[in-house]
Amino acid sequence: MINNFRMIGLAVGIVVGLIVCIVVFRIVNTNKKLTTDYDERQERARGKAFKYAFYAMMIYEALLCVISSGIEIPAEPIVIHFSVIFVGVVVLSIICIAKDAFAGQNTNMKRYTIVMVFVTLINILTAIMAVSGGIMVEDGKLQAPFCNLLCAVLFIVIYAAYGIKQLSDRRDD
Amino acid sequence: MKNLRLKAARAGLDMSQDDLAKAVGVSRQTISAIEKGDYNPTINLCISICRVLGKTLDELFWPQE
Repeated sequence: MINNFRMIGLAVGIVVGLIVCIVVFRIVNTNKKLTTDYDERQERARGKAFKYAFYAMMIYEALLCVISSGIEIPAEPIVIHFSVIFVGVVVLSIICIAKDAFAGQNTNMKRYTIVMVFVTLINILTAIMAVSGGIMVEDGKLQAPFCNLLCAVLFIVIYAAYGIKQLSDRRDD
Repeated sequence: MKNLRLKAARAGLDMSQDDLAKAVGVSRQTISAIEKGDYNPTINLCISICRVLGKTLDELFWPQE
């Protein structure tokens, strides 16, 4: 019964997440489109980035298979699956940022930064509440709220990479 | 190989990389990459750039002897 409630909760969470994504895209994109427009060079760079992100996810997944066959990973399956997504998104984002293919033609980076800082803060807050409530680790296993912490780390890594790229571009100019 | 002819044609019309990028519908970084020789544009983009700068494909993109 508890598992059913949990599944319903996760499904509702995913639907709410999708709705939030739609709203965010409409706010962030200057032409209010749901898709981001990239030029031909960016599309090519993003294609390569997706390829490397796919390889990274494959390697990480293979490593997890090897490790989990030998020892029990001290984390709930949702955390393990989310960590695979985390690796893929980090590789994709960093390559796109390095190749100037992160922000699209219709992306308002100021609005994007504001929204993402807000999302990061919500995730950090949720993670802090989980730690203080003692639900981050149960029975020696990392629980679902750890995904919030991973999300926050993901966005911080992306901001750091974007900041470094901006600084290096200014130096080149 | 750097495309100095593109840079010269753009500067001749007193256009910044951003102005040219907006006129042809790409990012400023893409124009910068073409001028630096880091990116080979498609024929469609070459034609768009030539139209905006009032030059032919030969004048801007054909390799010089």
